[in-house]
Amino acid sequence: MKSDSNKLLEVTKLEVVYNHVSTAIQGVSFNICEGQIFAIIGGNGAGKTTTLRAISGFLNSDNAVITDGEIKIRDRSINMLKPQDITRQTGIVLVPERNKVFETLTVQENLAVPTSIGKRAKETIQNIYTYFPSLYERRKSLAGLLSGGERQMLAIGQAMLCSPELLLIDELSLGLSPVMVEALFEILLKIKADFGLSILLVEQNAMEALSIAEYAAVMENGMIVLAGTPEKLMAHEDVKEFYLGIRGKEKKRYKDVKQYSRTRRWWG
Amino acid sequence: MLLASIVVLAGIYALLGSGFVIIYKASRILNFAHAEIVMLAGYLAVSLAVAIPFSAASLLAVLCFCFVLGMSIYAILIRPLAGYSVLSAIILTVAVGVLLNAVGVFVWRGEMEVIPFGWRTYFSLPGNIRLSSIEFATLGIVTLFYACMGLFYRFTKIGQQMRATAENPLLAAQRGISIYRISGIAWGIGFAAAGLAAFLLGINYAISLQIGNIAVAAFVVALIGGLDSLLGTIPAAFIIAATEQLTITYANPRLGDAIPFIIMLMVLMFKPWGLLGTKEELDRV
Repeated sequence: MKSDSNKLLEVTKLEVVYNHVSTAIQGVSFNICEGQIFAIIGGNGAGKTTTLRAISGFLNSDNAVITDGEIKIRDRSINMLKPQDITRQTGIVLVPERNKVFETLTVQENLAVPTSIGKRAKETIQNIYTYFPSLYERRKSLAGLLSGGERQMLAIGQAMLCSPELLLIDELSLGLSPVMVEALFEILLKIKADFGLSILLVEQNAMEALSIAEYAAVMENGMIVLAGTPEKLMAHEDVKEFYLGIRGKEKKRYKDVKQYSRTRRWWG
Repeated sequence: MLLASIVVLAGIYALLGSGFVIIYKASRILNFAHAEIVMLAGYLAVSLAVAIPFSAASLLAVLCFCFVLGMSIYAILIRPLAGYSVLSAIILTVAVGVLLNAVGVFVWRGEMEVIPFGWRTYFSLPGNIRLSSIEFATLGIVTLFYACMGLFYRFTKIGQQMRATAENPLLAAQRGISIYRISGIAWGIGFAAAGLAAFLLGINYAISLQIGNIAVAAFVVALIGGLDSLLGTIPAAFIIAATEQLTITYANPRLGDAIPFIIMLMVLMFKPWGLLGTKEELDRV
């Protein structure tokens, strides 16, 4: 990891409880440096989305609260901020997993609603279209009629118009063809380079995520169990077996996989 | 004559229904104080029309008053309830209605009043239809209101943000839209629509303490059209106004009040979300 001087986001010992009873994540700590792509991989229910929603201030609407720990951006605590203030004041912008665009608005309107674009709205939107030419062609159609890939593009474009410093992307690859996922990741890399963004990716598609990330963490049962550079994680036996689907010598079936118990490697 | 009265009544119903819809769209709250707003705005228009003889000026004053009242009620009473059950906010609007009703009784003593409208003449239209200037003005105002609302939702930034907030408040908040401000403006516009309807009721019929009862029929209009569809209020208002007037003229006048509800039951049996309303997604479990 890079030195502390360019630390952008700092999550320390985060704990989130749903409905006062069920603990979704516990002791989650990680740092994201400026200009870094950080990936969190893990299966369903591992707590990835909860982590993202905690950072973007969405937990209240889910009847969940942060019971312990702290989220800081540039040394400013944002635990108590409202979602709209988080976007406006901190530059943390979320691309959610579901309902990521306004389906009853046209593509053009979707790009026009974010508040932060002021007088130079037209130019800024035009600039976004240069990254997503297919959106420009469909700018007058309703977002609800777009394909999954185009929706994802629109969601990223819309997020870009909120002048983000840290883009949180929940399951970019969900329900998309591998070709589309690759294309989106390529565009994302270009955007990151042009705008100097940091990106936090949450993915089940470990192979894709690890291919573009600079640092990654593996979550299981609400805890980060492994973290390191993608190379280090890809070389790890457990990651290979459970997330990349690369089997060792003996073939295992799903039943065996479930029974296979691992030693947890704690991090942080 | 019958056709003219149906069209005028439909226009007023649509306008009344639009007040429910605009507020519901933005905040998912049914405003049960709507009837009392209509009554209060009507009496205010009467008093102002006496003080300022020029109708347009008094109408504008009433609209501004309603807009501010709507924004204030939202900001002071409804907004603090955000995050709690929607039901408590709805019950709160009932309480506001009772309170406003008391204000109406206290200040205006519940007398029946007509808003004076200076311009009186008749227009003959093809097909042997005669429209009075009042009916003509009513239709003009309603059409203008819908045209303005259409342009507002479609082309202004606040209108677009309002549609975005109505569809997905969470995402809207994440995109930096101040959803409280947007809802406050929507409440203002909804109340102003009630004020406009009150003015039209006042020039066409009369203002009384019971004028709010007509807002009940308008609630039915909003339900039939679809609670989140402004456009839906237009066909719904025509259906209700036509059946009601036809029943009163050709069948039994006493059935008039029941007709909207019978129609509502029939429509909602087949289209539970109303004619043009969107099906609401069930919450993710």
